[in-house]
Amino acid sequence: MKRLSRRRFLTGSGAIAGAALLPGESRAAVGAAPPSYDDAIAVLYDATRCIGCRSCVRACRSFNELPPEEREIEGVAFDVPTRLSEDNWTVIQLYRQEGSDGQPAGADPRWSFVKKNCMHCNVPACVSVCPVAALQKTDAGAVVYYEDRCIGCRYCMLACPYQVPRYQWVDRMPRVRKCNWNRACVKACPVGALQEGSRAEMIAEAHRRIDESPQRYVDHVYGEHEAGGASYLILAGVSHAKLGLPSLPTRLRSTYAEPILKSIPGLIIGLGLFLGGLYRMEGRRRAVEAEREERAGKETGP
Amino acid sequence: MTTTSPQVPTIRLLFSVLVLIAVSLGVYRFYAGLGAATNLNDAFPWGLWIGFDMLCGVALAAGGFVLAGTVHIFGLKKYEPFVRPAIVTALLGYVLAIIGLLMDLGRPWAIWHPITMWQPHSVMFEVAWCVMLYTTVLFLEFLPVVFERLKLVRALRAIRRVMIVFIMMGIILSTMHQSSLGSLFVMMGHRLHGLWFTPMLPVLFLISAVAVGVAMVIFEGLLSGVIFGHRYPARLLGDLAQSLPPILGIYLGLRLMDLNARGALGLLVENSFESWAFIVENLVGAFIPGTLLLSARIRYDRSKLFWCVLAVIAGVVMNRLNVSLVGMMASSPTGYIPSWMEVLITAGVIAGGLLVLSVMIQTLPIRRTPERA
Repeated sequence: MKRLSRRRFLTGSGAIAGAALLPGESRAAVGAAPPSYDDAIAVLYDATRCIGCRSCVRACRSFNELPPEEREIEGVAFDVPTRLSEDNWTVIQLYRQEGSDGQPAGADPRWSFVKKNCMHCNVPACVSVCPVAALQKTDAGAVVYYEDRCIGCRYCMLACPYQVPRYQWVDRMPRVRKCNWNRACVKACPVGALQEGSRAEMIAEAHRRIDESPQRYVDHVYGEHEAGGASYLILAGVSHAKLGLPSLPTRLRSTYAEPILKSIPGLIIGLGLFLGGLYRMEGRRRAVEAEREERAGKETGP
Repeated sequence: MTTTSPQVPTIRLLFSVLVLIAVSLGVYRFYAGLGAATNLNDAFPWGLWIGFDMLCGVALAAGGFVLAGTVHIFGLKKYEPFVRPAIVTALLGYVLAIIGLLMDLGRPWAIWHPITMWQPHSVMFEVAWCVMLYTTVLFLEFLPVVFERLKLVRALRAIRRVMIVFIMMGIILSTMHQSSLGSLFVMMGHRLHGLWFTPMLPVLFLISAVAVGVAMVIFEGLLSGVIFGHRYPARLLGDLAQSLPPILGIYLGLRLMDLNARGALGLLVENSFESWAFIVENLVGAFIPGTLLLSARIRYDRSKLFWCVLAVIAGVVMNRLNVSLVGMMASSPTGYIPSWMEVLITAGVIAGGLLVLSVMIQTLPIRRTPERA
């Protein structure tokens, strides 16, 4: 086997090292502040105003042409979506503390409605893990799904800390399903529990409401900082954890895998140089050995 | 001298039946959808096909790069007889993992998308590229066997000249791929049990892959000796097994250090299903075989060596299943037990692989040291 000449070896490794210095864009992203999406559209959901009428759910159904989740109760069919699913992109859930007798939220917050749907994170975990960019964050704040790109690996479902993306399990050409940020629900809300505006405005509005009636609200705007912030903001009279919303650190989800991915160019170069060097040293040793054998052969030869 | 065991035709028939069952179930899975054939659901999106076919298949294929590196880079030429079987097994392992992946992907016809639709911030993107590139490299590393069989002397000489490049690429790609399968789970702190979830997952996956790579090569060497009568000297197998105690020692040490650093040592004694799964995994899979293999009496005894490497293999299989399935149970309201169809398809995939391997061993010059060019 022919050995690499020193020059070829060095030029080769130089080219690899040069290539590794190229991605300056990704290097600049280290330590940079997460994007705020201050001017993008956000939705503020005020659980203390919500009456649980589910007009939003129906609007979502008709806008996105989703079938109802029918269940027959005493001979009458009702649309009773209880959890997010491939056809339920938003649901209203009721939290009720044991033994509470249905007093209105605010006065005695022992129960509360909560509207669940995609949070439309500023730096979404689903977007960062998708291998083919089938999920993308638009400048308008929406996290959108492109089925033409999707390969169906379902990594997004496992990475989302809110466990929002759902799958069409019984389908020959399945898609990931979730809220697409058309905000038909906002327009449908009859009591102003849902409100849309720029993210900065909505956050300011949320804090204004808390300051105005601190006894009505838990002092926390859910989605302002969770996992780097989201475009869906939730105000409530009961703690968000009780409403089934996970308490998340402000750290961006994408930063968990980032240092690992950033180490790859270094790994390739380092390992390449190490293996190349080792192979050269080995080759030299082999050559010396072969020579010695040859000499020994001559001496003992006939 | 080389006598094939009389049970071989019967076993081949049985395996063929398993393959046929798997093929028909595979057709049903594509016709009726994932949800009809599997027990996967929104709360448990990855199951047996990712946990076993993909994670274990790739880990068990690690012998290919470990042995190629040991012999051709580190120059330990005495292990050369193991290289070809290791590479053939690795190639088969990867092909089987890809078949498992095609079963599991919701839109398998789009599997080529990562080639053109780049998203380099995704670990899955790295995994996809590693699978593609390393399977290609393994095929190239395997070609000399075919050339030798077909007596294509020129092609053989040409490919040998560049083989060292493939071997180095193979080692780099394997290092990336084995570790990146662990990195996949670094995003799942909200789902994975604290005993297994750690930012160290990629390092742990890589080290355990190296260990199981060595163990698989020894395991196969012993087994093919019994089945096909090509016996490796016990001396050589035992010498190779000498590498296992240090690798397993480093692995266990890192795991304990990691648990301690994360303040998760207490989880070991919580007396839950997870804590026992973790203890069994590390005791049976790493601590016991690692300690036993320190003894020369055990290392150079074929049957004792067999049980030790089998334990190492079982340990890594348990580890991959614990990370992908057992460790995910508690966070999922539905839980998951694979459906009979998932199990039978996986069984068929393995049976198919063993069938191809057994035919290859008899028809291709795999158990022979390549002649010097």
